[in-house]
Amino acid sequence: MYSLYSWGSPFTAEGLHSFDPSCLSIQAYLQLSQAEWQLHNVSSASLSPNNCLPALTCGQAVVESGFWRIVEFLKSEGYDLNAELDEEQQSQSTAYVSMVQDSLVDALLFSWYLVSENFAEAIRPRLAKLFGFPLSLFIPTQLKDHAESRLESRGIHSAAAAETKTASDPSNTSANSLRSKIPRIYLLAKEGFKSHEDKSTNPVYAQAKKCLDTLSKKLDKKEYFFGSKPTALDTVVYGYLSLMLYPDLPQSTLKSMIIEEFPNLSEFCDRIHAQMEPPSMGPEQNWAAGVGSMVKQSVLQFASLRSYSLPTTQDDPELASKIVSVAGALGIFFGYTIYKGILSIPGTRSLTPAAQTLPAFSSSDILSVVKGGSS
Amino acid sequence: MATPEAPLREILKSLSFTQFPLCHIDPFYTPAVIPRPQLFVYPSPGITSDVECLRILALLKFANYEFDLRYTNEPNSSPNAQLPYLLLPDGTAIDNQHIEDHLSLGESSMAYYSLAKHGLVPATEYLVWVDPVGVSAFGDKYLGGYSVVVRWALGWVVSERVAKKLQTGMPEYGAALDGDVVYENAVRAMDSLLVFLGDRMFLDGEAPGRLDALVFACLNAFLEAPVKSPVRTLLTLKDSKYRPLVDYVLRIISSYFGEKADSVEPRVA
Repeated sequence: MYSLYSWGSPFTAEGLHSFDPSCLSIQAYLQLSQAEWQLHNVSSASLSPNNCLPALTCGQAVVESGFWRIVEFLKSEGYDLNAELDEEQQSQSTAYVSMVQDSLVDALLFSWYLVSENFAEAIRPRLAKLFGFPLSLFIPTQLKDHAESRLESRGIHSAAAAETKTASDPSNTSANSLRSKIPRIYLLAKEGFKSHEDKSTNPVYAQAKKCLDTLSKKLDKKEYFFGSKPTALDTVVYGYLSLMLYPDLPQSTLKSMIIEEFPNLSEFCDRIHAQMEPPSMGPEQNWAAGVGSMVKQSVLQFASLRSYSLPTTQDDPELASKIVSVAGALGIFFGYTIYKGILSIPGTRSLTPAAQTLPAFSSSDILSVVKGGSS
Repeated sequence: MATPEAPLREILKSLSFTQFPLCHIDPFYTPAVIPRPQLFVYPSPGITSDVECLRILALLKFANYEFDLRYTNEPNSSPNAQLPYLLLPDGTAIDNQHIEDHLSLGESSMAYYSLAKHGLVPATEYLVWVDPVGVSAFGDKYLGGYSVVVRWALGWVVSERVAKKLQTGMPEYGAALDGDVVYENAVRAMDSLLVFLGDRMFLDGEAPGRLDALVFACLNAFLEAPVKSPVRTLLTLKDSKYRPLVDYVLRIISSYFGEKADSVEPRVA
C-alpha cells in the first residue's frame, strides 16, 4: 500500500482533501488508477528530501515527491493512466498539463491570495483553522507571500486592473493628473479606507479565460479529454478546476466564468468529483510535530549554503582532489615551520652535559645571597 | 487660495512639493535621427546567445521586419531594464514585452507555448545563472564590463534572484530548487515538442511564429553554450532521437540568419 503525504484541506466539507492543486491531482490519479493508498495530511514538507509535497512512500522510504516523479513511479508500478494514448496524444497531454500547472494556476493564486476580500474572509480563516496555533500565525502569510512573488515574477500585479482602466480612459486624464498631485493621506481622509476592491477586471482573468477556452475546446463533448477513459491530464485539470469551483469565495470570478462560459468543464469536474471516494486516512501529524518540523525546516534553510535546496546525497566528484590539496598545503606549511625551527616537535630530551654540571641551588643559599646583597 | 470644498487640499498641495521639479530645462542636444528601428541585444560572436534577445531577434526576422542590430551590455538603457529593446526612428523605445504588438504573426498553440516557456526557459536560466559551471562560464559574458569584485557580487545577487524566481515558479509549493528536476522538465518538453514537430518545417506550421522563436532560442542556447549540460548531451549524442530538433535549429539558422549550418556536430556518447 502506498502512503501519500499531502498538504491538508480546509475544504473537507466540499469533498476536497487538500488545498494544494498538485496534491489533489495526485490523489485523483491514485483514485482513478485504483491503486491502494492511504492519505496522510501534514503541515510541513520536511519529510520529503527536496521539501516537496505531495510525497509518496512505500513502506518506510519516501519513494518520490512532486507530481511528475510520482506519476513516472506509478507508471513503472503498472498504474499508468496514459497507457492507451498514442505518441501524439502523450505529447498533447504533456503540453496541456504544463499549460494548466504553469499558466492557469496564476489565476487561482491571484483569486485566493491577491484578492483581499477572498483572502481575508475565506482563505486565511480556513487555513488558520487547518494548521492550528501557532502555525496559523505565519503559514497563511507565507503562502500569500509565495503567491505574490510568483505572480510578480510573471508580471501580474493586484493593482493592474485599476491602473489600466484609469489610464486608458481619455476623459479621466485631467482628473487623474489632478488626483495624482493630491497627497494620499488627504484622499484617505476624504474618501475613507476602501475595504476591498473589486478585482474581477484584472488581466490575469483574461489570460485564464484563454486557457479555459483551450481546455474547453479540447474536451468538447467527450467524457474525458482523450476519450472515454481518464488520463493524467484529466486528473490535473480536476485538481486545479475543483479548487476554483467548489470553495465558496466572496469574489468568485473564476467560478462564475467556468460555470457560465465553459459548462462542459464544470460538468467534467463534477463527473470526476463524483468518483472521488473519501480516502483511507493515515495518522495525522499532531501540532507539536508540525511545529517541530517547521522549525527544523527553517533552521536547515537558514544554515544551508544555498537557501533553496536541502543538502543532497550526491557525491562531490571533486571532493578527493579538494581534500588532497588542502592536506598537501597544510603539510607543506607545517613541514616548513618545523624545518625552520619555528615550531618544534615536543618529545623526551636528555640533559646536556652543561646542565648536568650546574650545582643545584637550595633555598638557604638563595636567602644568604639575598641577605648578603642587602647588607 | 483654499476653496470651500477642499480647504485642506490646497494647504497640503502647497506643502507637498506637487510642482517638483520646480523648473524644467529643455535638453541642449537632441538625439540623432536613426533611419531604421534598432534592436539592442547582448553582444556575442555570431548570433546572440541570450535567450530573450535571440527570441525577439528571431521574431523580427520571421516577420520580415526591417531593423538594424546594435550590441550593448547595459540593460538599464531599456524601458524595463531588460534587454532586448527596440528603438524606433521617432525616439520611442519598446521593451521586450511589447515588441510582439508591432508584429503581425499568426497564433501559436497556447499549450505548447506554455510548455516551452515553462519547461525550456527555466532550464536555460538555471544553466546560465544557478549551475556553478554555467555561472563561471557566462559571468564574463553578462558582467564583463565590471571589475572582478563587483562582478562577483553582482553575479551572486543575480544568481540568488534567478534561483528564487525558478523556485517560486515550480508547481509544488515550497519545493527546493533541484537542477535534476529542472533538466527533467526540459527533456520532457523536448520529447513533446519533438512529436509535435513531426515532419513539418516549423512548429507553427508552414511559416515560423512565436512558438518557433521561443523554442529556437532555447535550443540554440543549449547547443551554443560553452558548458556541458544534460540537455546538450542528449541533443548532440550520435544517433540521438532529438536529431530532428537539432536539424530544426540549423534549418532556422541557415534560412533566417544566413550562417552555415554546420556549427553542431553529433558527439559520440
